[in-house]
This record gives sequence, structure tokens and C-alpha cells, in this order.
Amino acid sequence: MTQNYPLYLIALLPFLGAALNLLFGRRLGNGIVSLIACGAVAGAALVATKAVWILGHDLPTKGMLVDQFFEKDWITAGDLHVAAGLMLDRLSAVMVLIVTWIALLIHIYATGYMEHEPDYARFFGYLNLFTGSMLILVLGDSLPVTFVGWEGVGLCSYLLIGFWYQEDKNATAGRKAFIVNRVGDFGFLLGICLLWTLLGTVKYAEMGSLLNELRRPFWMGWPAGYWVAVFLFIGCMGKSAQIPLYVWLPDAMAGPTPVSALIHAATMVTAGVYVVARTHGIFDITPSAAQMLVSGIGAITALMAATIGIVQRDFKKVLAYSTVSQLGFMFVGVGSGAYVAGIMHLMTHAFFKAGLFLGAGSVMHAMGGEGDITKMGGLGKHMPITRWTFFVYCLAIAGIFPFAGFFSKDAILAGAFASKFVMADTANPTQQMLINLYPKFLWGTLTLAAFCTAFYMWRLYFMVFTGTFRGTHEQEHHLHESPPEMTLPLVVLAVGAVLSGLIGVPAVMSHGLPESVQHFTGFFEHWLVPAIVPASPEPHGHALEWGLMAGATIISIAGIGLAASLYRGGISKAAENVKNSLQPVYALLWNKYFVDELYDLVLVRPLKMLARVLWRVADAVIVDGGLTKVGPALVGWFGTRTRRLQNGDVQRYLIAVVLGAAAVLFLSTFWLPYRGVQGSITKEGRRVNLVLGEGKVPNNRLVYRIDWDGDGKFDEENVRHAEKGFFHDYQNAGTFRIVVEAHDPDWHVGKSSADWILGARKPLSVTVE
Amino acid sequence: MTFDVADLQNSAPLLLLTVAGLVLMLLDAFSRSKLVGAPYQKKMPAETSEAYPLPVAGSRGYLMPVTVLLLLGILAVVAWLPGQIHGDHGVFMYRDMLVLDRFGLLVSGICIVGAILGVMTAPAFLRAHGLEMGEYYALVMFSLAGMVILVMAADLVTVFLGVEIMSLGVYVLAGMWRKSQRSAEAAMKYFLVGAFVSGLLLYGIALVYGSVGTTLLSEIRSRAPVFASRPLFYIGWMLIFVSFLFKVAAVPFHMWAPDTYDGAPTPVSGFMMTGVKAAAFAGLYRLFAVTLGDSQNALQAYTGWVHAAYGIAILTMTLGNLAALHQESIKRMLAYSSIAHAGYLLIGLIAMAVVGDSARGPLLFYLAAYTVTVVGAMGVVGWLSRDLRGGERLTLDDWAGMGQRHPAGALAMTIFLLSLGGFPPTAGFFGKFYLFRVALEKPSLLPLVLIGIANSLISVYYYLRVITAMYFRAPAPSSEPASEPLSSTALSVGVLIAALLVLGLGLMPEWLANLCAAAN
Repeated sequence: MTQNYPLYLIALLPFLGAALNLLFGRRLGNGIVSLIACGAVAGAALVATKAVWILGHDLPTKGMLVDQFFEKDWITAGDLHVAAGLMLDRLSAVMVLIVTWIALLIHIYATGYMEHEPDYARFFGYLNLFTGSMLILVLGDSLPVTFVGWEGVGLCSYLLIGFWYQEDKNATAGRKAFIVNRVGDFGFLLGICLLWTLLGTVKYAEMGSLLNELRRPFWMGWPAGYWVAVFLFIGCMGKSAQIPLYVWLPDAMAGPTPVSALIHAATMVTAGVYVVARTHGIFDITPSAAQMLVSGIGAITALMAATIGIVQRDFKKVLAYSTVSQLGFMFVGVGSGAYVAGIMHLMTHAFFKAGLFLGAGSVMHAMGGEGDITKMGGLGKHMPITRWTFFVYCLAIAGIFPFAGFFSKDAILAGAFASKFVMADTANPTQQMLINLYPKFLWGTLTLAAFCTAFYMWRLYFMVFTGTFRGTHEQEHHLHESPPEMTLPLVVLAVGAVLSGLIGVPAVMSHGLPESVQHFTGFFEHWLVPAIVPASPEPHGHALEWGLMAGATIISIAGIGLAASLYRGGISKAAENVKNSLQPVYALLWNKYFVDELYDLVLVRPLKMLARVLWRVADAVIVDGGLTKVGPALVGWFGTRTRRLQNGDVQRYLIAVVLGAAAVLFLSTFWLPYRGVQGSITKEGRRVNLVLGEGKVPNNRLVYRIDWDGDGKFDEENVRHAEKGFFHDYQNAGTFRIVVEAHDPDWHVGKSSADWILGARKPLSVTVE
Repeated sequence: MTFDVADLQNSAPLLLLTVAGLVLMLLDAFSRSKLVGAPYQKKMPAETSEAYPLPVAGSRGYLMPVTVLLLLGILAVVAWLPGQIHGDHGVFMYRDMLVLDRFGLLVSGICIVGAILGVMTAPAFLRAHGLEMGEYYALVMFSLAGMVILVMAADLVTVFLGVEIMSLGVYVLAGMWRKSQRSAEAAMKYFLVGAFVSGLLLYGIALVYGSVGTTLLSEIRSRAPVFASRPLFYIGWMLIFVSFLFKVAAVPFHMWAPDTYDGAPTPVSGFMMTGVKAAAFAGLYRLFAVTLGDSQNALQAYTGWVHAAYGIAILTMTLGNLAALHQESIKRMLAYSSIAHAGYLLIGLIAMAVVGDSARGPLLFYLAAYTVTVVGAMGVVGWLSRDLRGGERLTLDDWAGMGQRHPAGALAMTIFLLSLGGFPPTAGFFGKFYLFRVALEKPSLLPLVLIGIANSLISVYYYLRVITAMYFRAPAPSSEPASEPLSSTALSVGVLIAALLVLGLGLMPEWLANLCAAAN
């Protein structure tokens, strides 16, 4: 069931805000700029909430709100007719609420954080533009509309990473993000095109019934659906920073911190997870190669990024690798069929990761822009609100009961553990065994990653907020708690980080509790399943489920404990010792597995070399040296000639007219006999047929003389043109040259096929046996 | 001699234009007649210094709105008339001398729209240069009437009548800048060569009449297969062909064009480059594509005009563009560019004969796109290049830094130049796109299209040169005062409308393309 609703308002309000601030912001003053920016997002949030309320309250589970802009005629090219519109179903409802409300909090935070920024209006214009694009992304009712938003957020990400473009480093980071994302976007676009050619539709609502089409083999023995999924996932890899396209996200921290919180933690980078969930029908197709790819990449990314996060010293870099790692968790969720868990982690992560970044911003605000955590320490007593909210976020991301991260991360681990991957029947026993072990591999990798997560987050917490201050006196003197517009969002997000997990309490926990509580515990699952995504796989047996939960909690507490023992009260001797004894490992992690260097060696250098060659050879020598000299010389020569003709002398103009008229007459009369001597030859034994005039000469119009044997004497004279042509029976075998002369009796002009100007285009000759 | 009363209704645009011209002349005559004894503006040192009476500045200001309103009314009539045509064939009027069909109405519409935009941009220019006289408006009206006769002509006699009425008005308009020697030169050259070519036209018509025995185009069309081989008939047609090629400024009959377009007052140049060209192409279409050329029964195979047109199209595009490359004066560059565009349009005419009726839409679309673009561009040229001493500052050096000095005008000029160069999303892009696409339907036109594309690449150079001068060059330091752009609401509004049309047609070309394709 669908209902019309003006969903466009949700995206339009931020766009209007962006337009106002970007066009007129400079003249408006900071107060009005922040009012416009926050007001636009607040309006969007209210409209979105109202829409979600209608969706949840008035419509059945499968219902959606729609807003069609174009019926079949948004993009029209040949057979391609793409409709465009927005839709709000239960999945986009989750996303819309996250995007609008968290964006609002971060907008409010930014009014404090950016207060000394001279380009205040530009910042808020971009931020609004981002919010609008993100809303288009999640509200789009078809892949192309989503792609519009997808590109829009990519652009805003680029603009905001390089917001302080005066510094070369920031601009470079922006370019890196943009270029790496281009690679992914290309895959995404290929996926859309492929899907269009296979299904004839790219609308989410219409895809479901056609998915059988995707099962047929397409290329290299894999079904078509697999390739669509792979291409779409390449796009998601770029946007959601998965191996091998994650390299841009740590560099993206060059942008202002509210940007990191909103774009590079809470919303944009989760777009890939959203798209996989949105098109789950394609990823679900058996054999589940696509799912194995998604979950495998997710798991490895989660572990790898978490290990890198352990040794980083830059506050925001730690959080960036943490984001990459957490996104890996989400992809394991949506890749192993546990869509509800993946989306729920997306939501809880939005709260605590946005909060962590805002906390980082608050700390760096107090530190005067310093981001090195080895220069901090003991900040807790100077900024209590930041400290205690940060404490809550760290508990949430480490997955301690009952904080939000516990429920969502646990759901992902349980889903991964219980997942089943189906491969082709032809798999041999070894392969089959590996496939059966795959869920355990995912679970194991993630558990290890969870341990690292707990460790690096608490390392961060202890190093920053406890112990004694390690920075300069000047910095210490300057330490202060941030203004209320910054601390308020911190508190609100902390509340979210505590409570947001409660809507997804697993059923096993409510076992034996009253009916009404049971109903509430499964709220998030009931919201999405079964109308939107399939149910998550669940471990068999309550004991196993409890066991998994307990294991995960123990692992997290172990991580926290280790961090506490090494970093509580500052960097302990023990920590230094561990670092020194594991020097090679430390170096590997500190240098982020040398991935950037690898890219540099494999891609960047060869491309630069190629560019250099093209510049030095193609451009400098061929174009600058050759073409640019020849061209002007020719043109110049021509120019002087024509200028001499055009000397302003009217008599000359008249002569040109007369000569031109004569030339027109003369040339256009010669074409008929010219056509007339063009012939085509066919043979029937010794009889040779010659058809003249290429069908363009009227009958009886021309008079011919024909020399069939090329002896210079004409064998036939004064024959009139005939459409069926002429024929000749040769007496002897041999090769003969045929010469034809056409004569126009009205014009007294003639042409011979032997003429070398305007004669026969191909020589007329024939060989008879 | 009798005629059907319905003819009055069907020829309403023509009659209304004539009446409007008379009304404007009367209005001018009854306007405040006090004339000032000496020009109120300083003259260029080289120009004549003889004082002659001029109307008081602004006393004719109301004529422009009146003209625009009249033209809008006539445009409404033109838009209404297609509803009166029933069936595929047009309605013949005045004993088959004129024909009312959608093609003629569409071209008339194009000419009138061009004239409206031209008239809106004119008065500020005229006032600034001391030319504000009522004749301008009346002559535009009469000239338009001639164009309408030409595009509606169904007989060689009315063809001649249309050409002459159209040209007479333009001869005078070209020379109306009496203080300027160059304007006089423009008018004189155009008149001398034009009169000579009118002789050719009349001679051609006489020869055709002499051989076929009729001047009715429909009759000639049915008899052409028999008579096509007669030298007299053929020579007659070629003379007619040449005279029309002269009107559209095709090489080698183009030599008057740079001098005339360059020397005439700028709004008049715009009018000549668009209205006259559009009407002349409509005449070429009626006489050659329809009367002589018919791809269905291979009638065009009897005459070689397509082959002649093929060569002339190549020459026109190439020479026009090459000559434009080196021009320092923007106005003269646009004059040569106008020649090059005649070459592109000839591709459309050839495609009409070779590919068939599907080429009509692209040809008309190109005419429409070209008309709004050039009228706008000439409007900006008149606008920005005004010199305080009464002349015009037209060289690239004068326009350097225009993007800083006059951002609005420079932006509009950029849009028009991009459209002329064929960049999306402008009308010019779709004009070329449709034209080349339809021509590619026949492999024999492939070389023509390739040359056309190569030429539009060349043309990009000199269009972009103006844009780079406007935006990326600092004004040359000079002792002379910089140009002083005109300030006039009507002018800005006219340029704005033209720019919006150029962009609008570039973003949503389909409605006009459909209209053009349906104009049989």
C-alpha cells in the first residue's frame, strides 16, 4: 500500500538553506546564517518525523509513502525511460531519522565549533547541501535517484574535506577522497546499467518480482545477479571505505571536525551499507558468492583497521580507523544475511561515533587545534562534560551491556556465527568444508576486531582524560570546557548511545518476561522484518546465544582491562616495553601496513610516469612542436590569400559573383555524363552485361559510344541510355578493357570513362574464359 | 480580377505588417517635430562634421514599445493561423500566388521573434549614436513584410516581389547611420551588388518562364522532369540559385557581407544576419528542396543543383571560418561567422534533397536557434561597445576585462558565443546536433558532415578567443577612455530574453524540434 506524501520537502529545505547561505551568506552575518542552516535541517527533521509517524502508525508493514516527480520521463534516451521519485519505507525511515536528527545536532555543535571561522556561511552552505544530498540518497525510489544523492554527498565530502583549502595538505586529502570514490562510483554506475539491461527497471519497488531474471548465467559461469552485486559493492567499497578503497577516509580527517562527525562517521560512509540492505534481493541470490564477498571484505577490513587504530597517535586518525573498522562490522552484518543487525549497528554507531568525533572536536577546541594524544592527558578534570560523555561512548563502542553497541555488535556476531552460505552443488568436500567454516571465520575475525576496538578506544580515553597533562604550559592554561552549543549535542548523543540499543534487545533476553515487554524488545526487528529485509540467522539454542554474548562481553572487558593496565594514568613503562619488544609489528601497524606506499608504487607512480611521457613527448614535442606550428602557418597562409581577395573593391565582388555563377553552371552540368560513365559489369558465360549511370540517369537522356575490346575503335555508336544496360558477346577468351563515352545531346558535353579527371571511378575491364 | 475573402484572413500577418509599418510612419510624422540644429553628440574626428537636424533625444522613445506590441500581436496571429490549415497541403491564396502553410508560418514566426528582440535592443543604440528616427521601425516592418511574402511565395513572381521588398528596406536600414562613412559604404556595396543580383534573379525567372511557360511553382514542379534537360530551364534555375546564395552570403557570393554587416548599425546587422538569412533559406527551400528536389521520385537527379550546393557548402563553411579566425573586430568576426553558419544551413538544404522531409525539422531548428543567438549577440555588441565619442569599440583589446567591467553583458555574450560554437547546453548545440544527425542518414553526406564538424572545431577557437579576452585578460592600458556600456532596460530585457531562449532551447529542445518537424 502506498500513500502520497510531499517527501520532497525533506530534501528541499536543506537545499534551500544551502542556496541562501552560499549565495547571500556573506552579507547575512553569522547569527542569521546559523539560523538558516539549523532551521532548514530542523524543518527537514520535523517533516521527516511526521512522515515516519504516518508510515508507522497509519500504514501496514509493507506500506510506503511515495512522491513521484517524473513518471517514466526523468531520463529519456532511446529505449531508456527512467522514472524518478522519492519513497519512504521502513528502511529509509530509519535512515531519514538518523540523518536529519544527527545532522541537526551536528549543525548546532558546529555553530560553536566554527564561530571564529571567516568562511562561516560557506561552511554551513556545504553542510546543508550535504544533508539534502544524503536525504535524496536515502529517499530515492530507484538506483539512479540514489546515485544522484550518492554523487551529491561525494561532492560535498570533497568540498568539506578541503574546506581549508589554503593549506595544500587539506586540498590534497579532498582530491584523494574524490578520486578514490570515482573508482567506486564507476563500479556503481556499471551495476546500475547492468541491472537496467537485465531487468528493464531500476526502481526498488519493481525489482523484487523480477529477481529470477538475475539467476541465469551471465559471465564466467556466475549468474547475472552476482555481477550486479559485485559492481554495486565496488561502489559501496568506495563510499563506505572498505578494502581496498578505504585509504581516503583517514586522510579525510583534514576537514573540520563536525564534518568528520557527520559525513565521515555517522551518515555518508554508511550509504554503502544502506545500499546493500536496500538491494538485498540481489545479494541474497544463491549461490551466495556475493554475500561471501561482502562479509569477507567486511571482516578483514574490520580487523585490519582495528589493528591500525591501536598504535595511531592522532586523535582523529584513531577514530577514522575505528570508523573503517565499524563499517566492516556492518558489512559483515548485511553480508551474512543479518540485515537487521547491520542496520541497527549503523544506527547505534551513528550515535556513538558522531559523539566520539564531537568529543574529539571539543578536546581539540580546548587544545587549540592540537590533535596528538601523546601531548594530552588529564583533561578530564578540565572538561567534565566532554569526559563523561566520552566515557559513555567508549563503553558503547566497546560493547558493554546495556550500552547501544552491545546489542548491535552482538547481533552481528551472532548473525555471522549462525549464517549459512550456499554454493554450487559441484563443490568438492574440501571446498564444502571451507564454506561451512566461513561463518566461524567471520565470527572469529570480528571477535578479534572487537577486542582491538575495546583496547584502542580505551587507550584513547585513558591517554586523553586521565593522568597528567603532557602538553605545553600555554596549552594547559588555555584548557576549558566547551560552550553549551557544543556540549548539548554531546549529552544528547550520549543519551542516544545509552538508549538506542534498547529497541533491538534480542528475543532471548526477554524470554520469560511479560508479553508486553517481549513485544517491545523485538521492536527494531519487527519494524524491518519481514516486509523490508529477511530475518537474520540466529544461533540454535539459547545457551549458545547466551554463550556468544558472554564471550563477546569478556573479550571487550579484556580489551578495556589491557588498555587500563597499560595507559591508565598516562603512558606506562609497560606500554613502552611492549612497543619496543614488538618493534616490527609496531612499525607495520604504525605505517598502516604500507598500503599507501603500495598504492603509490603500483598505481600513482606508473600513472605519473605515463603522464610525464605524454607531457614531454605528446604535448611538448608533437603538439607544441609540430601541430601548433603547422596549423597557424596554414591558416595564416590562407588568411592572407582570402584577405587579398576581400579588398573592399565592389567591382571585384561583382566579378566574383559572375565567376561563381559560371562555375556553378559549368560544374553542375558535368555531373550527368560523369555519372553516365560509371558502370557495373556482370557476366553470363561469354556474355557481358554493362549497366551504366548507377540508376541516376534518366532513360534516353545520354548517348553512348562503347568500345568493348579496348582497341580504340568504337564497336557501338549512338546508342541511347537504357536502364537495363548494354551487353556484348565476346568471341575469344581474354581480358578486355572497356571504354565508354557518354554524351549529353542537350548540353553538348561529353565524358569518357578513360578520362583521368572525372572519369570512371574504377576502371572498366572484364576477363572472359 | 477577384479573390476569395478568406484570403484576407489567411494573409493577415502580411497585411498587418504593412499596416503596422504605415502606422509607425504616421506616428513618426506626427511626433514632436522640433528638430535640433546640431547633433548633441561629439563626432568621431574622421566622420563628417556637417551638422544636420536631428529629433530631440527621446522624442521617439515610445515607438519601440509600440512596435514591439504590434509585432507581438502579429506573432499571435501567426501562432493562431496553423489552426486554419486543414490537411497536409497549404491553403493557396490570391490565385495561387501565395501559400499558407505551417512551414511559412514557422519561418515568419522566427523572423518576427528575431525582429522583436532586435527592436528591443535597438533604441538605446540608436539614441546613443544619434539615429533615433521613426523610419527604423517602419522599415523593419516593411522588410518583414517582404520576408513574409518570400516565405509564403507560391509563384516566381511573388518570390521576386518578396526578395525586393525585403531588400529595399534593408538597403536603407544599412545606410541609416548617416554620420558614418562605413555605414554608407555598407549600404552602397550591398545595394550595388544586390541590384546586380536582382538582375540575375529576374533573368533566371524569365528563362524559366520562357522554357516552361508558367511561373507557378506547383506547375513547374510537375513539368520539371520533362523540362529539366532543357538548357534554358536549367540556366534559369542556376541563376535563381546564385541570387539566393548571394542573399544568404554563401561563398563566393559573400564578399559584400563582411563589409555590410560590419558597417551597418549594429541592430541592423543583427536583423540582416537573421531575418534576411532565414527568409532567404525559406526561399531556397521552396524553390529547390520542394520544387526541384524530391527524393521520392528522384527528380533532383535531373538537375545538378545539389552537387553545386555540396561544393558551395564546403567552401562557405571553410572560408567563413578561416577568415573569422584572424579578425580583431568582434563585429567583423561575427559577420564571417554568419557566413560560416550559412554553410552549415546549406547542409540542411542538401539533406532536404538527399535524405528527404525528415531534414526539414533540423533545418528549421537551426534557423531558429541561430536567429535568437545572433540577435542576442549583436544586441550585446551594440550594448557594450558604445564609445563616449559616438563610435564603437569593437576590438578584442577593447573588450579585454569586460567580465569585470560589465559582468552581466559579458555573461550573456559568453552564452551566445558558446551557442554559436555549438556547446551544450545551448540552442546552438542542438541545432548542429540535429542537423548533422539527419545528414548522416545518407552515407553520401558523410564527408560534408565531417567537414562541418571540423569547421565547428575551428570556430570554437575564435569564439573562445572573445571569451578569454573578456574574462582572462586585463584591459590594455591606454589613454583613450574605455567604452561606456549603454544603459537601457529594454536592451537588457531583450538580451536577457534571448539568453534565456538560447539556454531554454538547449535544455528543452524537444518542443521546438517537434514543432519544426511538424511544419510541412
